[in-house]
Amino acid sequence: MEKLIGILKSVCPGVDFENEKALCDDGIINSLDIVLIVSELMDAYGVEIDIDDLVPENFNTAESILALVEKAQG
Amino acid sequence: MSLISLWFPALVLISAVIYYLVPKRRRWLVLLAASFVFYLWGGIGHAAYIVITAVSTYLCGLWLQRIRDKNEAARVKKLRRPVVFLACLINFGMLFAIKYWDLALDMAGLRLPRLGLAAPLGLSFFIFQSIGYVADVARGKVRAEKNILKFSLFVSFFPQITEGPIGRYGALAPQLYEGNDLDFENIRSGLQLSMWGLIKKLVIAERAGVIVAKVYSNGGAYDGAVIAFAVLMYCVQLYCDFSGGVDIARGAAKCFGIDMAENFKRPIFAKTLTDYWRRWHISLGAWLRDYVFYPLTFTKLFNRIGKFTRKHVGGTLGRIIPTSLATFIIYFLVGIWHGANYTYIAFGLYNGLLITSGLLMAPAFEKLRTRLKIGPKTRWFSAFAMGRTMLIVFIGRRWRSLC
Repeated sequence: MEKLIGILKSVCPGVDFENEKALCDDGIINSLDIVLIVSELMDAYGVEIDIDDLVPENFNTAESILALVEKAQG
Repeated sequence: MSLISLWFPALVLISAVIYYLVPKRRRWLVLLAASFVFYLWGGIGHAAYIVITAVSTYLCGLWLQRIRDKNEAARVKKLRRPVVFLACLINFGMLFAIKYWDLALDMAGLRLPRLGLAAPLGLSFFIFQSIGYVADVARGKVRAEKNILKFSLFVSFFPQITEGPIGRYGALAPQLYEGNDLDFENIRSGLQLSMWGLIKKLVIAERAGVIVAKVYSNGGAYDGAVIAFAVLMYCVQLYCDFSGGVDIARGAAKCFGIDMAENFKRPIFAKTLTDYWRRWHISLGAWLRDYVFYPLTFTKLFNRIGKFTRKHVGGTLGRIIPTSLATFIIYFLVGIWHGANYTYIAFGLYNGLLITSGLLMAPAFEKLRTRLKIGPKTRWFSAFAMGRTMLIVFIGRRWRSLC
């Protein structure tokens, strides 16, 4: 989780990833951030994230993003 | 039929009465009939295009559903691509031929015959909406609609066909097909919304338009301040005309108990140009994001560009170049969505350049903001940001209206 938060903060500095629960719904991160985050994640974890997974529910909390990575890892 | 003619409220009124008298399961037929009347009111000539879109996307939807039902995930990904491509080829090909062929020939300087086709009502809207459906079926977000008449209602639903918003099948289908209960609150708020839309469109936009036409037609005779005021009036006119039309449409839909997506969210309060485009014509931005921006950034080409820039350019810049490129393309599309003209291309590029450079400069600006201790709660900066964004938008509009 720390590694993930580190990556997230490098893409979007100043966002409280540890505590925010509605990153996408509240507009704290936008579609550009999501694409940047996803490409960083794919690079850092060596996984392929599906375009069908680019939905707000998967990006609202750091936990859901981690779950997405774990799902992609198989 | 026009949203501001007297026939429109008559159509809504008569349809609503019949709608609530008919049994719930058949109510969608009333909406379909009303949409037929609305669309064919001006003549049957241009109906061919919407029929082509409806039939092609209906069939591709069914085909894609079959592919999804009979194959496992990995094979679906491969098999769905040609079908989606076919739907796009037919529909965007048609859109290109009608709207952009002549301009493309002009730009290329070729002496091939111009087509000179007139665009039918709501062409871009129903094409985008239907292709969105095809993509959603391809991705398994919705199941294909088997009833072609029901599907035609989705394609041609009359309140939104003129000026949008661009709807999504998942959100609209249940509301359209299941039939809604009579609820006077819906009728009251629907009528109120429509009336407010009429005021914006017929009163405010018209009045502002008078000033705009006068000053724009004879720019040399007026002072800078007057011209600036006229630009302001042009923005007022544009906003009231567009959002007024959308409100009339949304109010009409509400009378049937149908909620259409919002298309505007207080655009004056936008703090950045990107934010502005998330408040103005929201459904277009969302459509381009979900069906162009995301797919584009996930293609192999963009992945390779990303790897290249990450390695050879490095740092934040290296990481955001592919996204910036995709963003630039999106705003180019936003530009030409509005019209097939050099000014619209310029408008798109103007927005694209500003937003892309904003993206590339973001880390530098972030450093500056930390040094100056400006945070998201700093009020004067928010006000400055809003004023700056509005100025940028006004300049863009002035440029765009130069045709």
